[in-house]
Amino acid sequence: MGFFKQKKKEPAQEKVIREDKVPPHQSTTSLEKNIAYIKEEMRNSADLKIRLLPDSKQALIFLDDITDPDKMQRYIFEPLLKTDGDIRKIKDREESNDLNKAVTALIGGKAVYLVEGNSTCYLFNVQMDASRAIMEPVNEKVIKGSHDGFTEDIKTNINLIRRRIQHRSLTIKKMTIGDYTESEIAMVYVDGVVNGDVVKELETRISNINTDALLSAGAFTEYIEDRTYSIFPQFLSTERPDKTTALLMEGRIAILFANNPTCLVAPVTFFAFYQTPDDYNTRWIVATYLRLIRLFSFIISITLPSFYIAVIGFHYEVIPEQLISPVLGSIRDIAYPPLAEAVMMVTILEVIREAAIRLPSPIGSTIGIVGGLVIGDAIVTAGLVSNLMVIVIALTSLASYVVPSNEMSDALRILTFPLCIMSAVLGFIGIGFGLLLLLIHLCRIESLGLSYFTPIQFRDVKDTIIRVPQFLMKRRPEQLDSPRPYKSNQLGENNGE
Amino acid sequence: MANDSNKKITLSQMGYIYIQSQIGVDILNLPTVLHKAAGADGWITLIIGGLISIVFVLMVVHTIKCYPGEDLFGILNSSFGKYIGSIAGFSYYVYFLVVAIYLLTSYGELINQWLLPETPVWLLYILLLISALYTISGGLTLIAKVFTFFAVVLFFISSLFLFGLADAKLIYFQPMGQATLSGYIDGISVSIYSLSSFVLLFLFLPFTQGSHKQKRRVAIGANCIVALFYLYTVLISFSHFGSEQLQHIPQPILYMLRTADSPLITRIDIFVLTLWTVFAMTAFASYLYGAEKAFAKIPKAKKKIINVYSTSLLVLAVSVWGGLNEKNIRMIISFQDRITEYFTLVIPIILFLLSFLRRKDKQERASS
Amino acid sequence: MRKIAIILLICAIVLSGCWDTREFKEVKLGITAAYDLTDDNIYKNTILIPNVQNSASGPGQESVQFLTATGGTPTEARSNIDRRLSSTYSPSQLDVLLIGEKLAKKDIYPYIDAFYRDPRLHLDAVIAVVKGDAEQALKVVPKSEMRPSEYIEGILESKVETTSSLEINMQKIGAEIFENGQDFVAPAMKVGDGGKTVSYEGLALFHESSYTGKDIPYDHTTLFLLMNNIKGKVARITTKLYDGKKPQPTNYVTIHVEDYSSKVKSKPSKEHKVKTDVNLDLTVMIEEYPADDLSLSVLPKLQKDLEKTLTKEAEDIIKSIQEANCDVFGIGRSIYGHYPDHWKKLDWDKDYKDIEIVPHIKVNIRSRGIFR
Repeated sequence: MGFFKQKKKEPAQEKVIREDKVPPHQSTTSLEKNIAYIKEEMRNSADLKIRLLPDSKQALIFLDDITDPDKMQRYIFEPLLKTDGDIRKIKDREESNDLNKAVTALIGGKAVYLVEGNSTCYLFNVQMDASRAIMEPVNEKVIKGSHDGFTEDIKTNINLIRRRIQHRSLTIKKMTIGDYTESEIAMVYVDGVVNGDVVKELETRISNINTDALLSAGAFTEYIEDRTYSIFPQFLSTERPDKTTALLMEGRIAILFANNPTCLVAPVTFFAFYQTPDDYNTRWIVATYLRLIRLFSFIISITLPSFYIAVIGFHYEVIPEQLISPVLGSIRDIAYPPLAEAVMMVTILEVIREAAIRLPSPIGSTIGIVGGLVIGDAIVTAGLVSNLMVIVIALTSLASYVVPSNEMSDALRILTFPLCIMSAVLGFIGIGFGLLLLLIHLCRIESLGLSYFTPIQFRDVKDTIIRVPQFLMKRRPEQLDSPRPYKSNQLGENNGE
Repeated sequence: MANDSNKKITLSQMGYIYIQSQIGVDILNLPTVLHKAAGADGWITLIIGGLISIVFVLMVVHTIKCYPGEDLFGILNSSFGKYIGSIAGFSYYVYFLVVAIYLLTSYGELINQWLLPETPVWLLYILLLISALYTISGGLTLIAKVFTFFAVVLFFISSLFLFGLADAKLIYFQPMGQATLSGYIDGISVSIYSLSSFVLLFLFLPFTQGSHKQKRRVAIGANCIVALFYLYTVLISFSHFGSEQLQHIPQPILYMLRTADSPLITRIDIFVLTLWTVFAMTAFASYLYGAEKAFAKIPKAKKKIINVYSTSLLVLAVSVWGGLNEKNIRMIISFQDRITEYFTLVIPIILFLLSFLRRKDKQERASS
Repeated sequence: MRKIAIILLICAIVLSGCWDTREFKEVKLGITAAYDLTDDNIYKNTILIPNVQNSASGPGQESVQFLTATGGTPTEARSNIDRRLSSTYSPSQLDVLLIGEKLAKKDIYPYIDAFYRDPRLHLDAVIAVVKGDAEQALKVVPKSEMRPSEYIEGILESKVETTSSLEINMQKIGAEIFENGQDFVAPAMKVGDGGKTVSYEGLALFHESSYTGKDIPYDHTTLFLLMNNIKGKVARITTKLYDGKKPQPTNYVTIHVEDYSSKVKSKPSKEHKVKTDVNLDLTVMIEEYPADDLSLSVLPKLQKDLEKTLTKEAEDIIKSIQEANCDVFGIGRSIYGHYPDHWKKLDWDKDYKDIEIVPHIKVNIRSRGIFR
């Protein structure tokens, strides 16, 4: 609606400087000043480690999670002992008088050695090799794109993110929760892109958690999410570093857990649960098509059974004449009312699903075949459930599995029940009220104080319902109210909306 | 309740709120009512009524501009003084209640007639009431979000109406200019009443971001969209049904869709009726919100929570009484018709005129 | 607050029953119905109910059931039918409504009123007039048809495609029944072959809501519908151009109408009160020309002859609709719309027969086919 569109002024946006183009910052001879500068540039990130050597005249600075202590020992400390503490005699070093270059090197996995009274920074390459087996998460597979995933080790996880965002404004804040467990968590965000209020809000909420033991990411969300009584997940959980990076760059916050490969991302919108990294790896037309398929299956998965119940039980006028005799032929000898049929079928499917998850995988597939084929066929022949209902329920649960996010898929399958009951009582009007209440509820939910189900605005449609080419997605999502609303430094003519 | 009432809504949200609170159940009857009043000229009276309603919108926006930061009740207080102002505020409470009751009963009647003749009407009332309460309990920002989202339905329904064009005959617009003057006046007043939600602007506009110029533009734009939607509905119904048949059909748009066939599904009217629940809810919710606001402003009112309950229980009780038989519904409708004139036309005009006096006061004060 | 609302909602739903449930499987749907008047002028309703046997692979063979009942009104007859059925009878999916000639000649509106009033009934049913008894037509069940219930509907639909009949349903004729100066036509059918088939006979002319007893015969329907601005998927007119040529077929020509435009304009006139021009421009292809000498030089003559013959036919059609007093072109409504003052002076029921309706038919031969 062009009519209501308000002309917004181009927001002033600070330019971001790439790491390789940072203007030089002359280092001073004061060790203290140099360290303070580096600390500030790194936004006091939690993984920045400053090791003052005993006499406090020399300091070694490095990023904890991406450097290898063994290498440090071998390349710095052992030679240092041999040369009686004279750093200039060690080989394999780079020198620089530029503190900014030193910061860039830090991010690249180097250690910086500073000496009091000497303005030269000595750089040593001590980057950690990704030696651990990093596997693609089983429940979030993609066709194209990177095939790595988070592991149980929080250091590896931060390393995976640091490698993808090679900039000093990537900030990591570590906290421990649980009086007994002392579980370590890390808040990761990109400073300057994320909305500062949201970070503060999340920090307060985390600091308010008061518990003996933090056992899982799921329990963690229940402590801090906005609406615990809602069925919809308000934190996106993922085990994919590429997805996390993309979300971080939109201006969201990621939370990593020690001993848990799950990464939670907030604030998110409803539509984030329908996006996969695949979308950005394929042609945009294909991605749009897939997004629309997902939207369609969202609608199918919550309304199809209730629609069927309403049509069979209330408004058979809507069946077109060509379909009357097939439908009538299929349902005439069924003993139960459609609601009972639906509940029965859904329950059977869920039982099969649960059984298949718990069993070892070779037996699991057998269960799928036995459950799906044998029971499905037998139940129709026995006249308990009509074959139309089998089709409806099968389609519904298939459609609910289309959602890339597991929690959302579960939520959708549960939502089927209230809608079925409503439609069994009031027909289409019941579905209407059910959806009405559901949508109002979605509008009420907030994720970290930002709206969860933003009413579809034209600008946000570009990356929610469809996906347009990258050059048309110049802006970050409106919902986040990012201090850096545009995705690039170039504003103006290239940035026309 | 309304914990974030200090948050302001955006201009486009205000536009959508205005659109959604205008379109209620009434519009379904509008073509028939207009045709009864002014014959084939009904659509002309609608255009005239639409133009007049724009004048009213301008007056309302101007009045609000003269009392910065104050909503309807603040304006009433500062225009009429404390005592008369509170009485006027209370009478607005009654007015909003009556309109809410009217919307609720007419929705129940509609669904009962068309879809669910056996279902007790109180169940529909309760469901609609719960949906509306759920919406307004989140304050103006939630209302804005919900209403903006449901604007999609408007476009969807408008496109479904196109089915009616299949059998349209332009000759049914003729003869033009046959209506009498009183017919015209009837038609125009019906049109203005059907666009009478501009009173609600008093409640929404002060809490909108943006300059007065922008607000004025958006309010007029939203009013035009509603009027055009009405015109579209009326034109399609007129061209689809002959003038004689239209007199017998209370809800021509729905009636027309009874035969609209698509290969997937027949009886599109059932779907449109279901979607209409959205309009019924939004219009009802905004008047209920008005009533809640009005009640909150009554001096010595008790805690807010009690307000909404008492208000909505009152609405429910009167609606159930109205749903008992058609006579009661007619009583509600005629009562609503009678008081609408004062609250939507007379009081805004008085406020508009008073705002000039106030400005003079101010100027005098400023000069002295 | 929220808790109370949720409890209220759950209570409302749980305590409520399912008042309006009408299970689809417990309903017998009538697909075709026939309305007749018996010899004693009692209303008689016959319905056809298809029953599908459930089989493992898709819907199986259909068997049909006929039920006849009499009653004061269709609704009463409906409940009389209900008494003999295991489940409720519902006409909400009615596709074809056959009306016996005898009933049609009376006012049909009282018998179809329920369709307009009840929101559950289907207004999309086709109305057709049957010469003689409608019940007889309904009971024709050809062995060759897969779905006997769709036999009559199939006939009517295929005729709409070939521009021999028009799409009609109760909604469409509704405006015409109520409106002054506007009448409608409905397909007419007849039982033939000794009760084995039903055939399409042409269009029955109605005045207000009763059948006038006059029809537009089958061979004139295409031209009539084109004049009335209706064309199906194909329109083909076979006409007798000449007299006395031998062999017999050479007198005829078949044209395929590719494009057409038709306009009916009426204005008041002094001699005949109203003068109406029916303009019809046809762009045609010669599809059959048994005389076999279709050179370019013949075309102008052929075109003239075609125009002359078609105009003659159109005049016949107009004569018959005027005799039937069936204002199917909506001339009265158009006069009322454009000249309301003139309309007040007219007594349309009487004057319609005397007005002047002139057909102007132009033919443009676009193609002669692939054989010269």
